[in-house]
Amino acid sequence: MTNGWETVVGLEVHVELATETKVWCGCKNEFGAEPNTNVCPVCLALPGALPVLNERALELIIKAGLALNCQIERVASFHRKNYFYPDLPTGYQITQFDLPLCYDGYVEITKADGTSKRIRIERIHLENDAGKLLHAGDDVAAAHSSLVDFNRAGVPLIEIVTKPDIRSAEEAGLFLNKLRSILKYTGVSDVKMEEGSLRCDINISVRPEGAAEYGTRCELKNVNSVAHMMRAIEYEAARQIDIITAGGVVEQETRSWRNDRGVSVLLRTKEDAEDYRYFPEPDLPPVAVAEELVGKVRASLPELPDAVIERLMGDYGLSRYDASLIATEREYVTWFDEAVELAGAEQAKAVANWQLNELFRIMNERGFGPEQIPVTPNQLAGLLKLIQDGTITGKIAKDVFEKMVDSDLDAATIVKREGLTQVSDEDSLREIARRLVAENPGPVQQWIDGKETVAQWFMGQVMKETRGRANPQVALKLVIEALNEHTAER
Amino acid sequence: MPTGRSEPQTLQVVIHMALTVDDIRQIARLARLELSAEEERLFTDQLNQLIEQVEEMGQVDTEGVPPMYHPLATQHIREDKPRASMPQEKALDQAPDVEAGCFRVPKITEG
Repeated sequence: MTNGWETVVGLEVHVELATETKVWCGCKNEFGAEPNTNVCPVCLALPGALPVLNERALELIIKAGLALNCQIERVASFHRKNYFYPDLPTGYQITQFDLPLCYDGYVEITKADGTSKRIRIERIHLENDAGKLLHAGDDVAAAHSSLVDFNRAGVPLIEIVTKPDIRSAEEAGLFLNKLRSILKYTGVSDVKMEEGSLRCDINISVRPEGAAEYGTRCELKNVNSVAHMMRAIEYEAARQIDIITAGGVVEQETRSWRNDRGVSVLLRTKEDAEDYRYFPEPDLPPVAVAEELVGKVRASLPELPDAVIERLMGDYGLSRYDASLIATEREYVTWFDEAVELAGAEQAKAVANWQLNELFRIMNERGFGPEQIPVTPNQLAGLLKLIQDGTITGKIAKDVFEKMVDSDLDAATIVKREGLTQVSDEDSLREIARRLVAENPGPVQQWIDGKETVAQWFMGQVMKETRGRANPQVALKLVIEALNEHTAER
Repeated sequence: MPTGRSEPQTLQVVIHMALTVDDIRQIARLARLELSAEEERLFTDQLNQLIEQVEEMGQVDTEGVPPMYHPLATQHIREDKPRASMPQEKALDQAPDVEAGCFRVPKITEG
């Protein structure tokens, strides 16, 4: 959306399913095993071996479809997609063609300005992954030979195809993050991008703002992180706009994103487009999808991110933005709910503030994932209670929180051990206030001259002397009293 | 990449035009086969004869008959339980070239 241009993006997202075994055989679906140890005659395509559909893979794609608001096809039928590549022992991928298991769904994204937008899902189909190629050399072009590991060959994949509804890198990022959350919530996939369990191809075109027709699109292959995808979209949109503004024509091409160089390079033009010769898979009879199965999967769906966001907004008055940050991971929601349960609903906003500001900051600094939340809901509830009853100040509470990160101790124990209890005792605070007033004639003169903010400065000095333990309201009141006494005496 | 959900499709076996030598070259290219000029002519004739035979099926009236994906209506499906895989040595046993537990293949060129 720069200088009168609109970017149009559709995504094809490949996600590995979290099954125990591969989709057509009983070999383990496992990342990081010794090369070529999770292989058998089926996934190595030895003569005579026949594929049989994994029941769990079928359940998981249906689960993905329902969670993404799709219609579910009542038959699982498969086609062969034929092509030659060394990572594909069969010479074809078993996939779905005219009848994908899921179709006509959508994902709702919330933009930074608070507006939401629906990105439609065209289809989701089930297929198998290929093996892994390890290139001896920098990349495919430089390699003199390649090593093939077939452990991944036959791992169940779903391909999620969106409509061209995405209009910017920001929207694409929001979509992919939301998709990731939903797939993790439902246990459809672990969605570990660093292990390649979510990979994405980007279809992208540009057109003058307000144009009715789409421009010619290019496809960017194999983008494997949200940040790379956003960068790739921005680069490719700018490349196409440059071509058109220079009087050229964008050619329909398949390009490869090279994140290290920040550029896309040509893989093939429309003329060399692959001819996959799809035909019905003769080795796999279609499997009927029973109504009970769809019902059973529907009943097993957990509370999804959108429902969480609505609940946190409705029940606790959180902003959509805060609620959607908590909703990104199921673990964060569980943590929030437990803390609110322990601390009381009236503390919900405080819980959210501690979670979003202190907890996420610390987790971010230390590189902790959602399964490594370093403070328990019980610890936070204890801390909130100490703030509420005036035992500690908000400032001290932050130190206590940091200390809880590195220990299993509850807030009360830490406060007791470190002597952090708030000083509300007026006599001792009054003494400090009087002494400070006596010791600082300069600021006192400013006070006499009418500079009222001097009181805040004195309060700060009291806080300093008490190492932050003074009750700020009490300190301010006593400082003003001391200043008035002093002025009156003169 | 197929798009959307479309009406069921069947293989278009009814081809009313005879294959040309150019078609055979394209099929050979996709199958990574190198054919001599003589073989190209031979296979063009043979494939055209095959197509003629299959074309007879086009005479059957299939109006309103839903496409059949498979002659068997069985429900083959299996539980998601791991089974023993092959030992690595056995998997690599017949490979012409092996390195570091992997199959080694020549340099890959696109297309």
